[in-house]
Amino acid sequence: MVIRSSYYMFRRLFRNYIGMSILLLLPIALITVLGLIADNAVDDTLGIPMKDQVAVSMMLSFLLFGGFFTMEYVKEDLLSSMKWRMYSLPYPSHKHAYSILISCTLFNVLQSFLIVLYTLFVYDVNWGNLVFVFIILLTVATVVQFVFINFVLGVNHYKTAERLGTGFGLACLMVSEMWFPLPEGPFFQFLSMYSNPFALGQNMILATITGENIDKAIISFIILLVSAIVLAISGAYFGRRKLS
Amino acid sequence: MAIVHMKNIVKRYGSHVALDHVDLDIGEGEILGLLGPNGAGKTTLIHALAGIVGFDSGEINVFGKEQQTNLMDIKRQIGLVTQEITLFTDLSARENLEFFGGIYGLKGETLKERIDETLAFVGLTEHASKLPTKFSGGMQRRLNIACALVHEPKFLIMDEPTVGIDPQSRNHILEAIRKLNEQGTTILYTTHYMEEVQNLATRVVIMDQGHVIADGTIPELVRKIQHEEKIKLEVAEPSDMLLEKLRKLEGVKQVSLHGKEIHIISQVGAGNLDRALSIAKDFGGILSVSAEKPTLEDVFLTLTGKRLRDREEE
Repeated sequence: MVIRSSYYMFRRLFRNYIGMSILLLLPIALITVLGLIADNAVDDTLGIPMKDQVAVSMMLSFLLFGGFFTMEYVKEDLLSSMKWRMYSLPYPSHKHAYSILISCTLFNVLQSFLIVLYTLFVYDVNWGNLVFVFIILLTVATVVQFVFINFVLGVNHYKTAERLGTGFGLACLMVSEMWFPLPEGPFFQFLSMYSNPFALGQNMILATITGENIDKAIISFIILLVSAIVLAISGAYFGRRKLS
Repeated sequence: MAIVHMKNIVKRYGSHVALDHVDLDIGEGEILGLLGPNGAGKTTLIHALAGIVGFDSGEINVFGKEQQTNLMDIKRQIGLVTQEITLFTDLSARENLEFFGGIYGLKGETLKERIDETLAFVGLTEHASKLPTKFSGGMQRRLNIACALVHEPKFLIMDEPTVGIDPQSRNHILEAIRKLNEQGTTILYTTHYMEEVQNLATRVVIMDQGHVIADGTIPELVRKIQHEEKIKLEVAEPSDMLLEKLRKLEGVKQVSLHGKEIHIISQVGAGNLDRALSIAKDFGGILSVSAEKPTLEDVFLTLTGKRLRDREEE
């Protein structure tokens, strides 16, 4: 039933034109404009073209906000008046929550992967091994979706969950030094490198592109996996409390 | 034979007792009209029966099976038409039915056939590929019903299925309910429209403050309050003195003036019709006279002290 339900979730996601515009067309537009500005400049620190760095940052930035899909569908199907019909079905509501989570995660990965393909073919961005990139996207998206499902199930008001989601995304970008550098010191260095899905995803993708800092990428991958397990457990706890 | 047996059901929300030791049986093939003022506990009862909310004590048996231990099995045989429109607005009418039919275990050709039949039954065949957002309120209500019918439930629970729709769609829905019942579906029906219950229900249960306060056929319920009769006199010159004289008659409980019409509620058998007529003759004459037997609305008013719908709502 989860597979059947996920199939219809995909249909719904593909008809979510606003979501598609914000999380697919907007990053593509931004990458296009910023890529044109970057031209052939090279990032001295990383040793890769600026437009490659822009593509990685933009794709991961928008991936962070893909959790809003999960929040929105959990609210629509299981927390609004629709829940009465869903609860009356011979289909446990937590299974429907799983199907939302799975569909939104895969959809989010697909959207991000389309950005990868666009930048690969249009801007000749070197992404390294695309299979690795796909796995990295899947890992980051899973953690992000779990974070958002914890928000929507863990708080009483949807508005609060929305604000937490926005705050989470912006905080990730901020501590990853997207806008300004953090103060120097081991604590801030750790924060900017390993504290959030954006930074962890970036570590892994840059390792795929450059072939360097593999150890950093492996540590990042392990942190993401552990986070996913912890968030899945807390999500299940909140779900049991809220959806039963 | 009862297909639903609820015994001593108690449901509390904090300190509020939504269902207070409710006993209810629903016989196979019945259309049971469930009435009650707002907050009476109707929706809680429906949700408890459909297995949506748990209850604190008591026992529910559906189709001879204990509900708590056979919940999924029982849910497969029940259809719930919710009070609100509960459809996936981003799936077409057909896709909505595919989704819900699939959840009930229908597949392939059987599912397709059932969808076609259900769409035809609610008159939406031509609109099958449209999104519900393109539908009128009445069409959305019909699709809302179709989603509860696609798996051919033996027992259908309808929670105010005709709220806020045009008379044409309402008639369509009421006709569909009659047909379903003729085909053997047992129906539990709640509404705020008294005339719907009068037209449809084979039995009526009235709830108030979490209790079942009356249970029976409409004639049985009417007999319960038939100790009163209502006399309506249209007079040429209504005056306070006339009303005062009528109030003084033995057995008269209430006299009220509505334009030129005087409503007298009196004990049955008090013989007040003759006396009222002779008094009214002295006040400029009588234009018309009528005596009414109690209706289901009167039963409801007498038992709950409230109207089913406020006049403004109507």
